[in-house]
Amino acid sequence: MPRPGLDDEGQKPPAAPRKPRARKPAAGAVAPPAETVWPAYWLPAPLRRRLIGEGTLWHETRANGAAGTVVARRPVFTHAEWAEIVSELRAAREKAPRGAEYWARFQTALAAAARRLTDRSDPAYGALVAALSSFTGYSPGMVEAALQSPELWDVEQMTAALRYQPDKVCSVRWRQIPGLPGRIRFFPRHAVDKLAGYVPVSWEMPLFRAESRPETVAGFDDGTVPGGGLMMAFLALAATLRGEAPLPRPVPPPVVLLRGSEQEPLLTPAVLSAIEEIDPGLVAMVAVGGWDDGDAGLQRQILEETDLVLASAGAEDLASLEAQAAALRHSPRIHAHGHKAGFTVISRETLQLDWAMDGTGWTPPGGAEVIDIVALLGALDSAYWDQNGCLSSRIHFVEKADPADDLPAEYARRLVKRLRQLSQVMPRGSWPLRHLHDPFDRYKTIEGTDRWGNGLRVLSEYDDPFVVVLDERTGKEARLDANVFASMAGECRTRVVIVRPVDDIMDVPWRYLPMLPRQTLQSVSVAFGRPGRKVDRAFLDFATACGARGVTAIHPVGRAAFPRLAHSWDGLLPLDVVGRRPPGRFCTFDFDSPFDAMIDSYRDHLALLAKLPPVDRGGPARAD
Amino acid sequence: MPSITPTDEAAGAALTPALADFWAMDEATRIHTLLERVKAAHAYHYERNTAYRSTVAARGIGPETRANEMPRLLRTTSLAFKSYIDVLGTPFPETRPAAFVDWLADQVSVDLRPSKQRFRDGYLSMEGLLRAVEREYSKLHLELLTSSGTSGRATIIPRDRRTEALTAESLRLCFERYLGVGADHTAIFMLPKRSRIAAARMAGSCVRGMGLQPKKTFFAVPIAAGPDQVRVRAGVTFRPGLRGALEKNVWHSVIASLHDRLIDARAVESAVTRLIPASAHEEKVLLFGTLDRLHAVATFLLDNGRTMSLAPGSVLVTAGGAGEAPAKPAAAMLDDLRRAFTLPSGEPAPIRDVYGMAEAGWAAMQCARGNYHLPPWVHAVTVDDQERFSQADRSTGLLAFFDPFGGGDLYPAFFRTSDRATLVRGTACACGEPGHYLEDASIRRIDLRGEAGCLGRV
Repeated sequence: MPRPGLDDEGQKPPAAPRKPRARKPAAGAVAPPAETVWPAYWLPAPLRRRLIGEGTLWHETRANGAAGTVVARRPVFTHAEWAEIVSELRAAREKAPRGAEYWARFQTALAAAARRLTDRSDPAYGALVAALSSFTGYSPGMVEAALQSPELWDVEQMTAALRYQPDKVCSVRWRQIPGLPGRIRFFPRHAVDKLAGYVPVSWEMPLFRAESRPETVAGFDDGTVPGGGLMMAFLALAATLRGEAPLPRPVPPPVVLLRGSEQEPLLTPAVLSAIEEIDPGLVAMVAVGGWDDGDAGLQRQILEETDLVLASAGAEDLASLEAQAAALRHSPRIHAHGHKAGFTVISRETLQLDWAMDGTGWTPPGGAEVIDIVALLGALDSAYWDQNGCLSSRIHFVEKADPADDLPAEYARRLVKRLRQLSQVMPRGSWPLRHLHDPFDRYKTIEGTDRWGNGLRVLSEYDDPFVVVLDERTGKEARLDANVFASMAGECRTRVVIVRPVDDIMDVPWRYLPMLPRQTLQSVSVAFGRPGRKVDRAFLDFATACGARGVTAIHPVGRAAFPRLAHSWDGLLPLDVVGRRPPGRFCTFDFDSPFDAMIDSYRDHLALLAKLPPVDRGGPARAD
Repeated sequence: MPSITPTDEAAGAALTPALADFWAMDEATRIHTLLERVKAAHAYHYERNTAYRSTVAARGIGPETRANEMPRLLRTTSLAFKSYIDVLGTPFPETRPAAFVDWLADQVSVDLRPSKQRFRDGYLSMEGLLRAVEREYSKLHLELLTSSGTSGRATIIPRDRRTEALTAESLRLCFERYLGVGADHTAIFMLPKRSRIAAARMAGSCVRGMGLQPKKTFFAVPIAAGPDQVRVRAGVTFRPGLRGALEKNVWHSVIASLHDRLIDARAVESAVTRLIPASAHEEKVLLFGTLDRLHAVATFLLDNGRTMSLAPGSVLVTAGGAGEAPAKPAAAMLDDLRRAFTLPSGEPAPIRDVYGMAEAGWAAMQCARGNYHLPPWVHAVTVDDQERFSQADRSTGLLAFFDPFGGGDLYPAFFRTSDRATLVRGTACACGEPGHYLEDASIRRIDLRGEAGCLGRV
């Protein structure tokens, strides 16, 4: 397989390990480890040939990892060169295939690129995993699990997502998207828009007021999760699908200018290079690079060229970007994706399910108990991305029957075992241990006080690479106020999980979620229902209450780490790339039967985890 | 090797070796002595201090500890002195006095329990509760200090006569040796005289330790802020209900306005009133306060077209960072201070910063080269992200320290701060002072709120 990002026109990374830049070592100094250089940029071949050469000025970012120093470098272009890039990309865009033809070719090329990039027999794959691990801080096992995960490369559902024409009824009712699993509901900001969903005739009118197919999309990725930039590129390019019959003729995919994340600058260029080798016309309108925040002139120039900005960053950066855009005469639309949190909700009906008693004849895969299946999937939802991003679950709410019900405690115990197993193949990243030990100490302090009795227990051990706390505190004094709940959720990072029993799953949207600001809620993972049962009224009531509180996506447990692009991302649909609608946010769930989707998820994860080699920790693995 | 257990000291034995003796020790002896003291202090507090024991026992540590287990003895200061919020479930301990005394009893290695039933069911303020506790345990000479934190959630640090004496001695030795400040200085503290704010109490200890003359010691801030006022002024944590609404909507702005318009101005005026005669009589001056408070004095002088000539030996000492919202960058404020305060030679008066923690009762003083010299009776280390101690002569990491003396008989002062710093050992500072030091400008607070050194320079 070709090396990711490698080409023959001056862009040579990843180069063989090279000596560090000339610097006279101090007497007696140990030689520094070798450096491997990777491209943190991507340009179509004609532009690379023209703009990259010996005189190119490079911006370099370094990261140290087990395999030495990884250098990500990108060219520093002048304002004139950026203008030239945009002009070239626009010309290339006009020649590109469009609509269904483009997407079919894109899917084929992406699948082939994915096969190449994730071929475990190729040494270049190991180099990519090591480089991504060094840069992001995630363990190689975690990076490998992500790259091997089919969801990362799955864009098939985008066609249905962009053909969909939601009507105003979806402001008051869950609606199905033809061709996609699950349902969608819109939560408008203004009451009048909700009212429209109740009024005959009006409710049949399309929710999206106007088509606004962008010609140029800018992406600002500031995350650590590999593939964040790719997700933006896929979303933007899929805009060409809008316009397929019965709508007017499709437009070509837009020009995409991506400012890659400094924390994960490598994967997007690698994937784009691999696609270019297969079908260069598909990515001839895409550029990935970077520019300094301080270069306000350049940023302004790029924003002026842009119709739509997709931005994933912290609140301050987003505010700054919005202010810059608002100051322009032609303000681009901005889809902002800020810091958020996810949770897990587990119904007792599902957790206590025992196939022998079920009477349906259904048997879980591998003969595992349902509680173990849920515990493994719950563990994955919290372990993926080490709770650094908004995708990971922080608090697991488990429904209990009565105060004496031991099922939540049993779930927490199983969760500990599953997290221990996961740490053998998907170890925690290189985050400070204090992120685990400080909460461990803090909760141990509470555990040891008479005040709470046995209400709070730390179930993990000090040396476990995670923390699991079972918080069964009850009574008036144990009621969490908003500050305590927010800090509890905020402390769940780098694999700290709180298991909190609830009397009823509706307590989650009614009692807990209102304690957090709406804009900080992301997704809820659910273990819900029984085998073969479709979504029912009880589930829809729960989903409605969650959506009303600000939740934007509901997944089956185990699917939080890889949200489906065709569904809601922070309340925005792919349709939002190409249209304008009343203010508000979408909430979606991406399954027809929550239980069956969970089992599908379990099967997929088992297949994936079986591929991952266990980590050699120099000692025997725990028996459990 | 001299060795004495805290139990012996509690029985009235003299501190052996004396803190000052550590300067005379060679490095190997010093480290050996300190580590022995750390082990003894660990064993002493492990037996008596419930909170400490339960924390380290959960980490697999028993009453006897080995050198490789030392990282597991470290606690954060918030775990030790702020955990009442988690244990009580509220940042307002005055609403649950009995539970608060239970918590306090767990935190100290002396027996507090028998008297707790004598407390009321509730107090109107934290200050009221803390006074009641101090009254109840007056035989132990228990004092409760609070932090001046910005979160509005107070750190509560217990102190008794012995820890106060150790703090006074520790500060006296450091002020004398590193800053050349002694009993003949006129000391002006930009702090309130009577306050339970830890920084102010430490200044009081300093006065007593150095034997400064009462007539030549001034506290410029006219009104002492109690922990309740500090909380309301911080504007982050308010009481629930109507009282909280009043605090948020009325008292917060009133207190902030009082400070900005009245108290700070009076403090500057008072300081200048003391500085003028001291300058005229060529007395050596110690002017101590946060950088923004000292800068306010400098601004007052410069705005009035004046500068102040101070006698040789005078020193301006900053502590506690540049304030929450400094009017100027720190470098600009320091420039103003250099312009406003000069020596008779025309040189700017020396300005030194202090890095320290009230929880342990020690402070690292900045030398003329800008480095912060650690007192030799404190075993300081840097901790990496995997919670290992660095063995290098120059290392950067989270600063942690074992002060086997600082906590006295109340608690082991083994703390990991949230200040990232570069620690140098084995290489003498360019100023000529031997011993370990923190490199100038290397101290940075990281993301752990509430546990950085409360006098840390951010």
